[in-house]
Amino acid sequence: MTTTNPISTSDTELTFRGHKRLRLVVTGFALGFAVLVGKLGWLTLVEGRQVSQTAQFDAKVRIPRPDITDRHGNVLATDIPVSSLYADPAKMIDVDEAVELLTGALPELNAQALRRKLDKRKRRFVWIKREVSPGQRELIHNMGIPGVGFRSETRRIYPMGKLASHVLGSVDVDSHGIAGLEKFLDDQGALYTASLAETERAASMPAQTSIDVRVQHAVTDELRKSIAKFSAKAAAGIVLRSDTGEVLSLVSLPDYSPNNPKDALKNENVNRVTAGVFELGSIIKAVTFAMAIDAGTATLNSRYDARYPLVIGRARINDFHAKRRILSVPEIFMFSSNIGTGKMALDVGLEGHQAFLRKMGFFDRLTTELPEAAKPLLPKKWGKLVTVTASFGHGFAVQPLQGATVAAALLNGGRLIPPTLLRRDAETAEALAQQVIKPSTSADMRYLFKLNVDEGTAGKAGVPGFRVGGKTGTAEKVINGRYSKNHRLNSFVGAFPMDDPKFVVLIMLDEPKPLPETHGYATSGWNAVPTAGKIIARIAPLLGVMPKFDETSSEKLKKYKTRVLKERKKADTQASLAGAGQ
Amino acid sequence: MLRLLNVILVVGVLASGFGLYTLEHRTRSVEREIARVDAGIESEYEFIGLLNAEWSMLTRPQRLEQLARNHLDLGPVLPDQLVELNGLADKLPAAPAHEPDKTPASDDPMADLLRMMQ
Repeated sequence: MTTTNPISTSDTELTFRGHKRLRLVVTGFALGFAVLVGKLGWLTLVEGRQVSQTAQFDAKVRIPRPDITDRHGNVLATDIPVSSLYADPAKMIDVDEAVELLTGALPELNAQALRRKLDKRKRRFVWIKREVSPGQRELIHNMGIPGVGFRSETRRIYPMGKLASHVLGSVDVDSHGIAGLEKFLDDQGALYTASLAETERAASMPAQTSIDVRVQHAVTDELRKSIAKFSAKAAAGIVLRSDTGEVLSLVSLPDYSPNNPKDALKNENVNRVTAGVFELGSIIKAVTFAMAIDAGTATLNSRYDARYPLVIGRARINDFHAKRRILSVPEIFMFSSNIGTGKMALDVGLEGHQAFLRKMGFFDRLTTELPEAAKPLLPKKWGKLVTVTASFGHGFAVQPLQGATVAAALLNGGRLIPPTLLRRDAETAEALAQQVIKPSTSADMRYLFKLNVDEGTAGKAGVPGFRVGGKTGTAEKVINGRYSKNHRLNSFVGAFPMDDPKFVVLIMLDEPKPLPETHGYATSGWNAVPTAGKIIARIAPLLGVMPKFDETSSEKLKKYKTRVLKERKKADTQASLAGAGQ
Repeated sequence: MLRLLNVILVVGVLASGFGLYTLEHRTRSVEREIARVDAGIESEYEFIGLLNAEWSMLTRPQRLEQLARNHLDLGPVLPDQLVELNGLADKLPAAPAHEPDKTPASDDPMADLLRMMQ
């Protein structure tokens, strides 16, 4: 029957059968649509609210920030989860009870203000308290108050406080870096930052800095003591690894706590090591010596006439510790003779001098990971007088970090390695290194630096056994366009152990005052140099430098020990007196 | 014949539908389990991070120095206090001569202690 030819069937039969099929199809479709409408209604009316609410909370997606650690993995900056308490007044059943319970758990809440907030029944979201402690969170959670919930947020904290604040910088409320390495991380792009702090935590990598917190603390502590002792305005210190260019410590005082980012922008808290330029004074003489020895115009046996002031045009260059005799090259270095150094620079010539300073990177802005990098201040026209003043560090100003970098190159065998604040391995450093002076010149420089501590102006930087070498600098500051006799910027650059200088130390003290115990002097040898000595005595054992003694050093060691123990005793009595006074 | 085929197909549809839904149900419960475990892992990591931060705060050198100053009778190392392992023999103090206890030990250690306290 089913296979009958449709043409042969009658019209009525066809319509009847058509109606029956149509009804079946219509019913089928109607049922199907009813199910769809029902589901749709369920989704939009019942489940919908929940969906929109969760979406609202997750709308603010934060880029995860990587932890920042020191070279040994000590955490310097990290994100911690904090819970913030919110309420949905529309869902509240008993406002009075909720207020009572919440003020019981969080005594700092104002009950009246809270009730006013929760009485706004039309609001769907009000903050009750941001950053609730985990204990309080647990307590409130267990109370089971309807309409109250927690939203997790992250907060950037710096567990070590002020330590290394100028390296780390800080972040604003939205976790965007505004200074220091935090800004560097953001400037690398969100992808780079996120790749370090993978949401899949197992794969996350902290940003590892080159800083060593122990060294950083020792330098900060000694500089702080020196500021107090000599009533200085500010201080800065750098410890640099001369073989890799890693900065082990970068201190600029006064400092601030990155947990309090507002302080980072205050003027006196500027990072003096990279964001400021200074005339480094006599420590630049080392550069002139290296240039002259490298060019072959002078050797350690050369002699220069320092009997009379050096006259160039109308300017007379004189010596601070004038000897008025013919000096050998090591003597010029030890007595820090301006006349001798000026003559050495003139022997090399104006062109050669400029080319050498350019090769050393003094004419360019030094860029590290820190966004705060100042451009050097250079003389506009280069003449004979400029060469002479520049030879002893006057007339051009650079970042202190540039000075330390060049000092490292002079002592490490002549390889200039750009400094970094991130961990760097020896191969990378090798690839970046540039041979700027001959290894033999570097050996001569080591000799001069060592001699200057053993017998010259930098004697107080010496620590028996640790083979310290260094050069002092006392620069007169420019006040109202003139060099002032009473405002000084004292510096010291040194290295240890001198047989293979691994660590370069640069110290700066801004306007230290003379003390009775310094016999009224305020030159570098009386303040910056002893500070450096104390720092080296503290950090050398930390850095794994073993002391070496010979027959001549036992007398020095004895003297040194009596001095240090006396100072310690004095400090202890002062501390106990201060403790008793409180 | 055709009817049998239809029955088989209907049963097949029902069976596959049932199978599909069971599978989906199971998948969902596994997904929920994964989400729960993930959240657990995440919160453990957060906790580890928190503990690391606390550790770092408690071991900051400023604090350690203060604690050492207050509670220990130690000062910074002097250069001659550092000795390499090879040179250790020269620096060791002479071994103290062994002295036998002067008071002969009695059978009653408690009585000895009481006597000492008197």
